[in-house]
Amino acid sequence: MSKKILVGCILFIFIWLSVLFQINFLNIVPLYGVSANIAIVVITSIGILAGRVPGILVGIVYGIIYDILFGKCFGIYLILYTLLGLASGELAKGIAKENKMSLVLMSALFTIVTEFLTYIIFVMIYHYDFELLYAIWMLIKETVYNMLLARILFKPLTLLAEIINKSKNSYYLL
Amino acid sequence: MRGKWLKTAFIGIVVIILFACIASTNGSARKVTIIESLINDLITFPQKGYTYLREYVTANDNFFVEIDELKKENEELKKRVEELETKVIDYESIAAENQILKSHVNLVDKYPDYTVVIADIISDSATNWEATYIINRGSDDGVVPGMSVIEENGLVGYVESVTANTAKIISILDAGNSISARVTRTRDEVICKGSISLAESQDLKVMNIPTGTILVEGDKLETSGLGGIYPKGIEIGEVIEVINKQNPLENEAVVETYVDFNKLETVAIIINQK
Repeated sequence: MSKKILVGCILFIFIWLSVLFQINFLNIVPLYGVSANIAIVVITSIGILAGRVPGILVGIVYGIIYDILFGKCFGIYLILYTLLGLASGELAKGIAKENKMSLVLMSALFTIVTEFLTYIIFVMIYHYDFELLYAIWMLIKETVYNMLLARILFKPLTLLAEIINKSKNSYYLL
Repeated sequence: MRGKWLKTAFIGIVVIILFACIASTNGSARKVTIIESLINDLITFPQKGYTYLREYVTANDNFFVEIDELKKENEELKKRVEELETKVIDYESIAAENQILKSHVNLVDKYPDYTVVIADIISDSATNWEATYIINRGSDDGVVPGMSVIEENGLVGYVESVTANTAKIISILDAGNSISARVTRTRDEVICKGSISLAESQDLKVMNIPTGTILVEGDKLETSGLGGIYPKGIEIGEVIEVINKQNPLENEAVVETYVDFNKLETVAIIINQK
């Protein structure tokens, strides 16, 4: 039992540190005016490497944090990131998990899907101007940045997924 | 008897040879023989080395004495450099702080009608679709949602939500944010709106330009006071481009904001109007 709590704590600390990394580093070092989104990379990786349920739970935690800290209303990121955790866990069943490239490519795919959905939701809710071409250009830049981030974070994320996998059902105690 | 004669003869021959040598080498410009040259080199070569060493040591006779002093001096200079570097950092920090305080004073002078709370930005948005900030002032400091946020140079945005010690600001660059603005020169009302395509260059789009309103580059925009969020007369920016379309109702303009959002560190929240 204590091991499961410990895994939950490790996961939460990792998420907390990643949000700090996002605020204090990724936001400050944009690539051609675009920042990487660490939440998408971590949720996708955990979904792929540790399975659907950890992916969903990590998505929920990130969603709540992002909605509280950065969102203009509560719930958008929560829904999107939970679905991202679910989708990555489901779609990753046939993927070679030890392959760095598959993780990087999946991060790219889910970045495109998640960010495009976010943009469409914002267009509908907040009446953003529908500047599709520019949105696609931003998506391309962010996708490249996220792929780079996924490659850099491959080892710590693999280690985190291993810890989760070793502790059976630890996610129920998150 | 015979030996004595031989000795005398030998001495005589040597004397004659010597005289012959003297006679042959005595001249103002004679050529040195190979043997002379060889002997000369044999002696002078090590002598040259010895002379060089002697001169070197003589010329630097203080070298060994001074090396300790130089080491000591070097250490002292290093310490001094460190001290000065620390002082420079301190001065830079003080200068930056001074700049911030100066901007606060300017801000209060510029908007004397408003009571403001100064806040530092502690985070900006993690996503690329929103332009939000988190500041280190909240409801404990009297900040409530809907309050306007300004900076020395102009309008920053409005407070969207608050906690006890923090508040979330929606910037005017946010693509979902619209501002009712007035052209300072003509007093015409227009709508300024953030846009994702202009966010990187920190510009706003001017829409709903009334027919008959002629915007020109260099026109200044300020808040109109309509809309209920922003008070009247806060500077927004300057028109840098006018895009005329076939349908005059679709005319647009691009406004460069006065606030440099990339360097935004401190803002002021308008608590109330005096």
